[in-house]
Amino acid sequence: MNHPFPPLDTLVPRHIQKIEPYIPSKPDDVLRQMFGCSVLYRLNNNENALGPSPKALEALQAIDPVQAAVYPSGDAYHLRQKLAEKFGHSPDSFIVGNGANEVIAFVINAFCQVGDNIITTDKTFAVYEWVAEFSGYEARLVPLAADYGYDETAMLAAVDARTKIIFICNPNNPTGTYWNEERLRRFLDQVDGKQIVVVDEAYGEFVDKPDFPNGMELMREYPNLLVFRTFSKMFALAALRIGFLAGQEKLVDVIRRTCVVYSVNTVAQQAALGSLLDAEEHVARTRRMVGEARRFLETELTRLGLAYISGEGNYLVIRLPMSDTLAYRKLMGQGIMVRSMTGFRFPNHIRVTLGTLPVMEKLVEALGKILPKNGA
Amino acid sequence: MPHLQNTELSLPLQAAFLPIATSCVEQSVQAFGMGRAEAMHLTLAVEEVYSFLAARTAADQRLKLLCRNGGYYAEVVCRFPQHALPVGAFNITSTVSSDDEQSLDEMGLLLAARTVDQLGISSETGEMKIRFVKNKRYPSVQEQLPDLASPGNFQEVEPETELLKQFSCRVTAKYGNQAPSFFTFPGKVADMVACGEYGAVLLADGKGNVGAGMLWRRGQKLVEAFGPYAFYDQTHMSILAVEACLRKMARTSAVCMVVQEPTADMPPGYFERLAQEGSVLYRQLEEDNGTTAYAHPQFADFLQDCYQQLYLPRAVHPVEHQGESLSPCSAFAAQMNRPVGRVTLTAIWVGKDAAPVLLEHVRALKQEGFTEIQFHLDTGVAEQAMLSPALSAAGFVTRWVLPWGGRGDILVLMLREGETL
Repeated sequence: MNHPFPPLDTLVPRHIQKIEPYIPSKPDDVLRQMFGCSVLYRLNNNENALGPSPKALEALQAIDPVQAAVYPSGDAYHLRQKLAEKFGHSPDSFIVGNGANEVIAFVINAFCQVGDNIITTDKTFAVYEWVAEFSGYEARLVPLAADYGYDETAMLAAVDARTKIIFICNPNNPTGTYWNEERLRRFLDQVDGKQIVVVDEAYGEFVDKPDFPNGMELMREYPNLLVFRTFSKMFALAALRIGFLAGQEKLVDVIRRTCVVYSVNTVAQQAALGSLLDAEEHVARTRRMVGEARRFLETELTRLGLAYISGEGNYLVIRLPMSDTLAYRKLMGQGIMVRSMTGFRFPNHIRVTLGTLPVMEKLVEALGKILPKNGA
Repeated sequence: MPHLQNTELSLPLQAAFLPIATSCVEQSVQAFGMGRAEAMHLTLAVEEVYSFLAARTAADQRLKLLCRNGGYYAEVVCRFPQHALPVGAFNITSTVSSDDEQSLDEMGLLLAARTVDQLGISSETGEMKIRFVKNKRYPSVQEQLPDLASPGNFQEVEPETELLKQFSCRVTAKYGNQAPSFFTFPGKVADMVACGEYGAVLLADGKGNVGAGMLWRRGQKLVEAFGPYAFYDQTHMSILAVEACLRKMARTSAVCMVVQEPTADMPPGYFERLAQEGSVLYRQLEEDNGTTAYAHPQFADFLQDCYQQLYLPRAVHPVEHQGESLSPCSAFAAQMNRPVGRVTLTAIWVGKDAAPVLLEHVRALKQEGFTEIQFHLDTGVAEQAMLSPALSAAGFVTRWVLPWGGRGDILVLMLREGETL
């Protein structure tokens, strides 16, 4: 007997009907086969080419596989203790999630209801916008300023009585621009505690500038401030999916009500704990690698006549005289995977991860091959 | 809110209920604000289809009728269970004898198609859908606007009605026949955007002068863009218009954009040519990480060449009929655009009789005066590859590949000019 197909027109909410699922890229072995390349250098996701720190690797190797049968700590108990010790806050000021993406959803669901809005920018990490929209809330996209930085005046002007959260990606992905402490404080003062301000410091550990604000300290003064961090980027645990948020206990207590517990596995928690043991050396080593890669690439891009946007973070954006999606396909044919930027509202731009010099040299060589000759 | 104006009716597919169906269409379309003449055209089309179906289906079958105000058109959709009729009955040529041209008049669907601007037949999740569209009438305006003499500070603005009308007038004045004919109806362009089926970016100065813009028609994965149109400082303004258009596509369901007839102002470096001959431009809006393309050996080399030229990662999988059982009947859908004389055929079912049925379609459509007959073969559907020999025999030749135009890529074939059957 053929059972009738469910009436999706009526079962699926309108805001979900309008959304297309995000399709992640295929696994490396499939991509290599599709594009006919023997090796694939991933420069698309801002991963750390140095890999996890030695202490994180030790922690991973120490895990007893038999532990796979046992549920993880449901609220990452030990990791929160360690974070509390490191940053000088109470363990209850932290929520650990299955990657920073999960904590974004926790925060939005904790504060927004139908008719509310969040504020973000048009050219930044897409997940704030996506989570808001598939949850049925409006995402107000404020254009970046001409210098590719956040425009605080325009952001404040977009706030209304239904605005619940303002997201600041600091430094911004993909432009690498950042607000210094003075500017962030000025913004927080103007918001005056009326909305939740999220400062996403996913790439904060890559910034080596004295005026870069430390959200972990500022949250002592600003009770409406939440800080996001991740172990995916600097600490190179992207495959394990682990990140966290921090804020004043009272605020975090509200968010905890929307949390999915047990979502962070034991392996991720142990590796994150290990990362914190030798964080200083690992950060220094990674910053050196990123700095060298940036200097090399800036020189080579200038030689190739290509404009670029280079700020903080372990990435750089290149303007191409061709479609970025075509460039993606051509570079994939040479085993180089970059991020095409049309989806970030930067048509004809690509973003590349700053990694080891030999791989940066391969990128430059590949770019030289795909560029149109004589401006054709 | 025209897009909220719908009427729906479910009724038995029996001749006695025909007046209810026709009355519903006639009244609905007039309630949408269209004239009696347009309403009667749609009513006649539905009358033909209803009679056609009622005469051939079991008495317990039902038909769902949906009348919708599309803003610049009215649409009537007839939906009924796929199993209600034998497969071949949906073909526009199903009642035609190839030896008897008189019998063309018996073709309910073709007759219905004559009274409307667009006819579409499709099948999904066990249901057949016949869609009729009648365009609203708009006054043609060819207003001469003063040139944009002095440089202005042009910025992207919301495509409001008056700006869209001005934009249309400027497009017609500068680009004439090279621009799509809908631009000669500024009110229609405004309605096309207002109903959400089309989108637009406009660049205007502080005095409300439109300096450039682009228009596009939204599809599920594929977006068809028109332009860019620039009336001042073309090089710079057309870049601004194209980039604004592409930014609008970010984080939408659109996977790729095609520009069938780009203007001379199209800036280099944003699009790719789909074919060495012809002007069709294309751009992907997302990263393409490959898929399988099913192809008959007859078209496999052409496909491989296209994929190589476009740097598209595709695993071309050969498909041939090797004696396996096929459905006895084939069915093809026809998307007719009568005002421009274009018809696009697609496959609904591939059966044993594909070759003669296809020939009948071509003959009937040529007889109807269609000058451009295309066949869109979906390389994402393995069975469709088996149509290749029948397509060649009917006179279709490969022209280009439209990536992600269907479930997979669409291999576009066109009937050779001067092909007589």
